[in-house]
Formats: sequence, structure tokens, C-alpha cells
Amino acid sequence: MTDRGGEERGWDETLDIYRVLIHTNEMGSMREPSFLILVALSDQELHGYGIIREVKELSGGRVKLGPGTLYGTLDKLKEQGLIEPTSTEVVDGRHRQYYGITGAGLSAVRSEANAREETLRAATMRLHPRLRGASA
Amino acid sequence: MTSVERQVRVLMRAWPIPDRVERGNEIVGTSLDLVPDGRNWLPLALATNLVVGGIRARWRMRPPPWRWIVYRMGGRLSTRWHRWMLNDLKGPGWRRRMVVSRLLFSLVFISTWAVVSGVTHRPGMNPLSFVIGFGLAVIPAAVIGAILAGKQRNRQLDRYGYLQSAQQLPSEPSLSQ
Repeated sequence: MTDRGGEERGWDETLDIYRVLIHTNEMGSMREPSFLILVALSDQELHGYGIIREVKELSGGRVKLGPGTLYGTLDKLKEQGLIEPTSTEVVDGRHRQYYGITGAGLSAVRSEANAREETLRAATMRLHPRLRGASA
Repeated sequence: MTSVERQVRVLMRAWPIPDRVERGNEIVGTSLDLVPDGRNWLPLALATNLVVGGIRARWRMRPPPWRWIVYRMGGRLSTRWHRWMLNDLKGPGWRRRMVVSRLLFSLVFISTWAVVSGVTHRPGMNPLSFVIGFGLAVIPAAVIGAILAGKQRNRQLDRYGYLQSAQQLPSEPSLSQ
């Protein structure tokens, strides 16, 4: 029975890794909605609509999350322990659940931001040869 | 309830029952926040996103295929899939799902047996008689499956302690709420 449970856990752990890989791009980088949601939550707790507004603002209007995308991404981030539900309130009859970032989430978003910054720097160097010459 | 809210609640049926019960009102609230004031109809993009999100949520909560097959054959499911299992056993259409999956397994089993044993290639074998024989074997299995489906459902629920326990799937909020 114990062995069977261990085997089940083994399969489930493999499945978890597979899901994380599906959720991330190659090289472990986050998908954009996940990254933007974590950035939005990095300094404040927000409810669903608040997150959508922040993400839109952070991306300069380029990323407009719908409720389906938002709650799907929030589920995955919760499963990975990067965010957690905090408080709830009802405003004008509408239920609002607030979410906050966890310590693991903050580490993940910082490391992702650094990786993106390095990629951006490399791309800028490649696209503007004069900058490459100046830095050499 | 406004007409837009009613539309959102209808589209929420794309989401799995546990999601609708646990945070249906939250998703409805966020969706309504996204609808511009004064509109009587949901924007198409929002409606599509809501439905696609629900289908994805259903897909995410499903166990992997090998676990699904083991469960359908009467095997155990680990606790992480119990939300899906409760949705399956307590949601509408559970009897149909049980019968269809049993039929599917019978079909695969008999077809495999027929191919492996070479019965379909025997000289003088009439394809029509094979099909009739096949039907005679499968239809009683489906009828028996339908009769025993309730017992099997209760056995599955009892196995994990959900039959008598209060830890059951709460009823879904109705559209009129």
C-alpha cells in the first residue's frame, strides 16, 4: 500500500514538472501573462479586475487579460505557490477576492525580470551595432 | 439581475462545477467589471474568453489518460484528482458517461481479440454475422452497465469516504441568485 502511494506520488510529481514545463517557455522563462501578473502583485494585493487593469497599464495596453485567461493563470500560479488568496470583500454586490505574492513568487519574478533584462540588453546590442562598438 | 449578469452566469456553465461553486461569484464579478457601462450585451471577445477559460479549467482538472482509464475500469484515483472525480460522479450525465466508457472498453477489447485471434479472416466468415455477434455481446453489456451504474457510483464514492461524509460537492448557485 505504501509502495503504491509512493508510486502514485512519483507519477504526480512527474506530472507537476510536466505542467510547469508546459506553463513556461523553454529555458524556464515565464509566459507573459504570468510575469505581468506577478509584477502587478509584487508591491500590492489586488483583486481580479485590479490585476487586469494593472497588467494593461504595465504592458502599455498591449496585454488585455480576459476573465478566462486571468483565472486560468491565477490557478497555475497558486498551484506553483507563487501567489496566494488573501482577503475578500463584496462591493456593489460583486464578490472580490484579493491575491498577494508569496516569497517564492517574489524570487521567481525577480529572477525572470533579470533574465529578461539580459535578453533585452543582448538584443539591443545586436540590433544597434554602434552600441556594440561603444561597449567593446 | 441585469441581462448582462444573466448572460455571464449562463456562460459560466462552461466552467467545472467545483469552480462555479467555489468562486463562480468572483469570476462573475470580475467579468461584470469588464463590461462597459450601459451595455446590454456582453462583448464577444469577453464572452469567448470566458467560455474558453471554462473549457481550459475543465481540461486542467482532468486526470491524465492512463489514470482516467484505470478509474473508468474501477481503479483508484489519488486525492489530487478527487475534485474531478466528484464532478464526474455528482455532475449531470454520470450514468451516460459510465455506460459510454464501458461500451468503449468493450469495443476496444472485442476488436483487439478479433484481430489477434484472426476470427475475422477465417474462411466462410460472414462480416455481417460478426457485426451481429458483436452487437449481441456489447448491447447486453451496456444494459447491465446502465443497471449497475448507480451501484458502481456509490461504491466509488464510498471507497473515498464521500458517500456518507459531509464533504460533498455543494450545490451550484442558481441563475436566479
